[in-house]
Amino acid sequence: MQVLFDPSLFWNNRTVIVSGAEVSLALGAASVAVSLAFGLAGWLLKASKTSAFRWLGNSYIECMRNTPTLVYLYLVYFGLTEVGVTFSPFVSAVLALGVQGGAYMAEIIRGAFNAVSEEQRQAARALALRPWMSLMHVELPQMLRVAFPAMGNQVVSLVLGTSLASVIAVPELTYQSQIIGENTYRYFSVFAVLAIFYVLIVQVLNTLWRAIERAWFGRWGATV
Amino acid sequence: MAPLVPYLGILLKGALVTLGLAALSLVFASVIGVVIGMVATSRSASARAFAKLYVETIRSVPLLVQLFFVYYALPLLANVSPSPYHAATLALSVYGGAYMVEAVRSGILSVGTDQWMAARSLGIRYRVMMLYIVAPQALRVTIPAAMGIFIDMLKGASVTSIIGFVELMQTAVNIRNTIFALSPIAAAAVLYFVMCFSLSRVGAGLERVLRYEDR
Amino acid sequence: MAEPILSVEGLVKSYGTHQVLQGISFAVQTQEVLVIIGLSGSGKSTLLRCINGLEDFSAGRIVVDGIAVDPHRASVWAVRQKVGMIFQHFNLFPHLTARQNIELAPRRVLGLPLAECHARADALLARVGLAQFADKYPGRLSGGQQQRVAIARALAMQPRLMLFDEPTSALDPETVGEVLNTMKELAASGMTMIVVTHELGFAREVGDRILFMDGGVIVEEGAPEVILSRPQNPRTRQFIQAVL
Repeated sequence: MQVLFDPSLFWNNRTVIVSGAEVSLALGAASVAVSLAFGLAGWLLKASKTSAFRWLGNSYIECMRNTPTLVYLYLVYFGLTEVGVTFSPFVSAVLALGVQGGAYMAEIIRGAFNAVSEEQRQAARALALRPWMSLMHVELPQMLRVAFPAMGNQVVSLVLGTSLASVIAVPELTYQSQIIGENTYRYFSVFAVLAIFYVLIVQVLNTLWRAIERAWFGRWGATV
Repeated sequence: MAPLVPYLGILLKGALVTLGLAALSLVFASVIGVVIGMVATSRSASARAFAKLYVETIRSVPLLVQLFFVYYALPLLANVSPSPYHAATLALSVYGGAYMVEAVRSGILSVGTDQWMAARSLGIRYRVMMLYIVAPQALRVTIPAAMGIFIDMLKGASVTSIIGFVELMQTAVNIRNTIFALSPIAAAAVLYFVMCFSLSRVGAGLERVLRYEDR
Repeated sequence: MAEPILSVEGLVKSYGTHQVLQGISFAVQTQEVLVIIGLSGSGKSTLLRCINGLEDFSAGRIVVDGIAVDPHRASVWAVRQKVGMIFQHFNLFPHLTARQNIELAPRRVLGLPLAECHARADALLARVGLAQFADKYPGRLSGGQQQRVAIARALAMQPRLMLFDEPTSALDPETVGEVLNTMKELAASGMTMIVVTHELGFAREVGDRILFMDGGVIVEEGAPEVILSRPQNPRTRQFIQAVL
């Protein structure tokens, strides 16, 4: 009779578990960075005065929001090999997750931009601050404050999404857990702990995010 | 593109399977949502804490991991061996259920407390009040949210391909492994897009209609 | 007679089919304090916004200190450096302290070194009586304090002309006085000011000239004693009687 929960399992496999966790976190961080870049690009496209750019931005956002991440992951992974480009599974996953996440980031940034009142821009202009200066010193800091909670949710979403990378054999934690499970049949132990790992990561991320929010924006007081 | 043509039929069938899975799971998720949603707005603090625990846990674990848990780990616990279809439905329902709880909770909370107080003072009993006063108004918030959740579940259904359930994603992968072209996956992407985009337009229309009734 | 620092000729502005300004003409001399009064919707705020190029206009000509105002040309930035604007809702930047609010434009537009910006900001804060609030964020300041910081912020650019768009309308009665006092001190020090306000007491005490606007035109203009006590035009009389 198998014991349901076997702690020695984790001690025996501690190296792959640790490396798997590291890869998961690295995937998460890289995807967040890529999605920020694509989010900014997507927002700028959608806000452009040229209708062709606007169409491009809108198409990008709508396509990404209406296709599952997994489909997109396969497209990037198999598609790139078709065109002769060979990225490692890690890079393919970061690309897929980042570009898809970028669409959601673009909408968050757009919402934040619209939330900054027109009067603030007028005040900047009245002080002879040119558009670029106004954006950097007046609008972006206020946009960041408005977007911060939503961005936090998006970061959590991306980190949870890294589990899909296991499908193209990126050696992150879900992948390693599958292998341990297949070798030992201790599926309950393995997947229960895997779930707990993600829950903990999410709690840590949320706490960190709220702490940063308080530290950076807490002193501003009521406005914005 | 040409080698794909004979397979278009089964791709479409795969899309229908996806729709069916998501729809059935949405029904279960809605039941979970209503039951636990009411628990989440109850007057008992421990009941609310329980509901919150359910929602937070499900939303903090990737769907793929939840799916693995249901398919591989639960059998060890309960001595059953679910088919990929059963596991997929269960996992997707529980997953969607957590989001439905939030949708139901927002709906209930959107009905202002004055209404509760008015109903109470008229001596209306809880069950009647919920059914005839709260529900119709809560639905105006919950139904648009449910549409969004349905779309998310459609996308989530693609993950069930990983445990071998044959829906649109798995069909596309199988075709790909037969003809070694990218086109089946691209076609699947298009089908997902068409399904999700149409539903989001319907959802937007629904939202407008539901809000219009306010006048 | 010296060249006026501001001249407005035949200014017309429309929002779609609605003509907000229907041919405004006037001039302002250096060190003059011009007060503009009138009901809401008479176009007063729009007029101010046209002067520093925040709004475009359909016809007419505005010249500020020798530069023609045209929002579509690069010269408008030179105009904005010479013209300071105070808004009804202060519009301080919430993510910067009072001092940082004041330093931003001198640093980024005029390119002054940080030390000089510090010195300038501290001097101006002292001048408006808020030296001890230098490191406070706008969210922690009262409306009157915010408006005074806004005045210091505009002064940091050493403007030749300052526009005030209902500077006290959004303030609690207790704080109106402190802002008006700051504005009086400013006028006494020789600043050229155009003030849109309902504060007729201020107009009588400090104003050199009053413009009464209604429906997008200047109905009457003249010295405060005349406009406020013996207005010629019946519409002006109606307005003054309603307000006083």
